[in-house]
Amino acid sequence: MMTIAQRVSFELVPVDASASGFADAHSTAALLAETIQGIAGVDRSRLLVFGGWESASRGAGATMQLVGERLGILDQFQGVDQLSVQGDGSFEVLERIEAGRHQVSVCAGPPALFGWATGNLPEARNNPQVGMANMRTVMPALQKAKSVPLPSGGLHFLSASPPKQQRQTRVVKDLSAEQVAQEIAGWIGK
Amino acid sequence: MSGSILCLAHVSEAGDALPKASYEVLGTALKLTKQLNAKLTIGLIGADVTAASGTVANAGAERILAVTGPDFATAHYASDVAAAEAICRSAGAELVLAPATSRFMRVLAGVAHRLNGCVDTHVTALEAVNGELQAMRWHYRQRIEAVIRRDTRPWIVLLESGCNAPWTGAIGAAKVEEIAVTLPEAAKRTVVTGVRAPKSDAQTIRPDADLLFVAGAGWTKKQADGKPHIDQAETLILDFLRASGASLGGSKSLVDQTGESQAVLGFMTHLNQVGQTGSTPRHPKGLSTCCHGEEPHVVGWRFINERRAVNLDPNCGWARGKADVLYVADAFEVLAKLNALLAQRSQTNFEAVAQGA
Repeated sequence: MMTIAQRVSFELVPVDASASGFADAHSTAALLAETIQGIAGVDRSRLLVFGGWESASRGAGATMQLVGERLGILDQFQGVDQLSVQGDGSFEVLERIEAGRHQVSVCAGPPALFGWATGNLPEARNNPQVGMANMRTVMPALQKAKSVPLPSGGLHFLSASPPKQQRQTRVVKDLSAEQVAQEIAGWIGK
Repeated sequence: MSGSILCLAHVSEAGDALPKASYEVLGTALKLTKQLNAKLTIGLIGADVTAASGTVANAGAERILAVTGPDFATAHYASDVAAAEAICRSAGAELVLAPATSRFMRVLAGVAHRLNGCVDTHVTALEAVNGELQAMRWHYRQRIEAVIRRDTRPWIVLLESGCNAPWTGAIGAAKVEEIAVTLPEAAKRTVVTGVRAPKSDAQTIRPDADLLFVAGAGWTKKQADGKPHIDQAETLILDFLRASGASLGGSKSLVDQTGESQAVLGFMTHLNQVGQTGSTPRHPKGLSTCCHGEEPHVVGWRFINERRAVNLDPNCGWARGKADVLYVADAFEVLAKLNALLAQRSQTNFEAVAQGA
């Protein structure tokens, strides 16, 4: 939070709930949608919702879409790497698809939802003044955050464990580059 | 217990079949149909499903449903969610299986919401145990393996590719029940205008390749003479990809250099990244080079069957125990020799074919 707060001005609307990767996407989405709907002054017809696509911890692959459905957003994009606003207010969206390619779409305008991938823009620069301004509102907002238990939503975990995969690695130290190349070429060709 | 199973698929980009992963899903659906004594329905989406439906005509489905027309030619949330919802409602299935293609990953969670059902993605296996459906999926990007079950129905499950045997059968003439879906104007605000390949000298990502070649940040570091050799690294890697037909993956540290204004491999983008914050590709074999990070070896390689690594550190903690063979050697030298061998082999094969002709 402190890292982001120094880079861009925002209003924080926090909810104190589980950020576990095991939390049910349906319950999480319901809470997020309810929270967005509760933000005073939000014009739903002009709403753009951004969220992470396949984040490292959660990666449910469903939360953003469920939030969009609950908010009635029919223009949804996932794996977005680029968003370009056109002169007429429409925007061009690049979404990741198979084989390292992007699907290109043009959306007429808001409302829309974006599951963001990596993009190609650098991080915004630190601005201490922005950080100071944000701190005036961020800390009170955090103190007022409501605590919400996430229901399991009928999801049952029968087991969860890290994989026990351990290979017997053959370490080859005494071969020349040519011999290594020959061995790899033979292996590739099998 | 599921009395009815729907196998949902969309036509491939070529339009004459289904994506390869769809046949793997069909194989799983048929297995579960037998285990649960259930009825199988196949649902198809596309501009024209005539050719694609023929490829599954002999799979043994009780019904084949389809939503077709120009509105359903391209992958687009509003049209796909309406089409999939209509098929699911018509099928009335308690379990819906679909491939984890980008097209279905975009929409099927929305369909689950509309059906008051539930959805799970990244599922690698489904089993019926004592009549109860259990799904295996990964959490924290391939770090924790969990077995789950759901009370809610319908349960939509997106299966990862490369984890199940595909169904194969003779092409036939399918009896397809068309379901009419008319899109409202609100569902036509987005238009798909095309597909764009990443900025690269060559197509380096090949999901169907037998070999994944992972390049680590070592390719851009100073070599024995105290200088980096980026141009040479680029040439060696691209030559290898052309000669071997391998797909290219990169470690996070290597692809991140692009955004940090460091010397980079020009063809390497974030789309190539494997590991926790990248992709987890599925190839029969993997060869990593100049790569010392945890992510490529532990997470990015999770679904690579045979693994070999080339690097200069015999004690590389992440290659040991994760790779089958670790060659302690200079990757620049090895790849140069390897490219020469592959070129020689290609020439020999060409001459043999020419003589045979």
